[in-house]
Amino acid sequence: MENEEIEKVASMASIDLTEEEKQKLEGDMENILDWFSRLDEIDTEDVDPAFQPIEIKNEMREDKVEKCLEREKALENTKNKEDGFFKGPSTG
Amino acid sequence: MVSSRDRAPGDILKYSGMSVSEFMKKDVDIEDFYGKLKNRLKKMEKMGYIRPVDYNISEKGKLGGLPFTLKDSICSKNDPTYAGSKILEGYKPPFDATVAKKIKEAGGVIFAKTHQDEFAFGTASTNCAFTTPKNPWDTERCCGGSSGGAAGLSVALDLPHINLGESTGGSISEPVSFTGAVGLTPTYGTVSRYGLISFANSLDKIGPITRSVEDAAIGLDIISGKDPMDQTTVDTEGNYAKDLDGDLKDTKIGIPEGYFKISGEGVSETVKEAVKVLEDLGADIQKVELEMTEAALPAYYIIAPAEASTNLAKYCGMRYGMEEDPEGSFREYFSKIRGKGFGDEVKRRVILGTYTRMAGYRDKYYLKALKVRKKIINDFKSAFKEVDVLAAPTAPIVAPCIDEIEGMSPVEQYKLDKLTAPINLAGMPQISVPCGFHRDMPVGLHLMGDHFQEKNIIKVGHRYEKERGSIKYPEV
Repeated sequence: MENEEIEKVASMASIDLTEEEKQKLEGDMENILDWFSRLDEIDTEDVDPAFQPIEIKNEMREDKVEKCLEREKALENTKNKEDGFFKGPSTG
Repeated sequence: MVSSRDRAPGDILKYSGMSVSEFMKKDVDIEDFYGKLKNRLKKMEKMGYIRPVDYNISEKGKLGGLPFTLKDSICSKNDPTYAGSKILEGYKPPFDATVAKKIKEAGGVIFAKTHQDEFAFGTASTNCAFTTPKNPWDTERCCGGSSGGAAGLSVALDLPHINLGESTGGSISEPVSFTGAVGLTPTYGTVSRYGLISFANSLDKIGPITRSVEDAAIGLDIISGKDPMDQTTVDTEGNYAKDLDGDLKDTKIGIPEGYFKISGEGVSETVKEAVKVLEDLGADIQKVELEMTEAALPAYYIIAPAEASTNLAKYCGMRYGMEEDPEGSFREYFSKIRGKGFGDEVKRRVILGTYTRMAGYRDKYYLKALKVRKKIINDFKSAFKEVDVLAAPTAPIVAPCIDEIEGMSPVEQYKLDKLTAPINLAGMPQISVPCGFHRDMPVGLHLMGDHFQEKNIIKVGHRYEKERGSIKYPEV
């Protein structure tokens, strides 16, 4: 993974990195990805991926309104609020 | 070994060595007990184990005021909950996690949050943004991770209590093996994760960390069960602490030899002696081969960060935790906050997890790892057709020094999970029980079982523990 690619991935992941961090990550990633390539030797032909460790069935519940977190409670953990809403940066 | 009752400091002598079941049965003077507990908190904080929270003493319910701690990634109403991260500093959840609710309803008292690696990303709790828990046996050494604070507290606090930890790839078993505590990781889906700050959804499991197998089983009884707030939970029979005293005559125990070869000689020999004890108790010991052992760790380190990188997308300087004036574009603002708020290991894993899911790499890494995971599950399923329980070392080495950990490369640190990653990828239950010492540091015996067969590992662990006798814990 080269510096350019690190920048691309960091931008996708929305994380600002310093030059020093980028350089350190370049070395780390090379090591880690090299280690991952060991899996290439394992035959996984006709093996289904295991997204979960046990079988999980979809369960539906009745569609009815229940009590949920009150608006003031939900807003308690931030200073950035206005008129009962969260305030965030511009999406433009 | 000498009983801890013989040598506890005077002021807590009355409660020293008391088990959780004794606490629940006895008529404890609750005011007096909590006075003693309070006197110990400063020291426990200084050792890097806890962040105390406000609590009200109660002696109602079947737990009669039994003290609990929660790992810093488990939410409890109005208690600071940071998951070891600067990005969540200041966060006070307006709700209880299901496990916290269950504890309170049963009459338990949550008195602290325990320190951990940031978002549970680590094997030594050295990635915690606030402190590093010190090993009670040797303060130069780490407590393991990521539930390091809980594992340290269990041994250092000589008063009956239950700590709840969380394991994704071994974060309950590995730290308890380093501190000489007992850690029980249940089958995936046995305990609700509603209110747990997620690391990896297909891997996370909440479980108790205690001083004994019975205490851990009692803990699991309190927190397990189906929960409409977590779709992955299942109905289980419970009653984990019932009928613990079985013999091992009809129990088949498998020995995966590869696990012993991976481990250092001292650790390997210590665990072999424990296996000999199980054999003398009548268990049928058999060798088993687990072909996929070596492949599990790289597969784990693809799957877990891939899931984590999506889970951590919500931490962006809005709604809770670290925040600034939300100026500029959303992309600039989110990236700035995440750059400031996340520590090195979190950045590394988010970048890694984003990369392995990217178009062009998804098949090579992410899907490949999930297929390897399927083979690992099949590997264990075949073994459990032959045996009831697998016994092996929990961690390949004893607790390393904090300095040593800081000098290791990421891959070297990841390798501390080598023996716990396979069973965690399979979502199967496991318990680590201290079984002796190497270089004066505790060694863990890892007992692993098939899905929902907690009772098997609890029975073997409890029987072993009885034979081993009590441990002389260090004075902290």
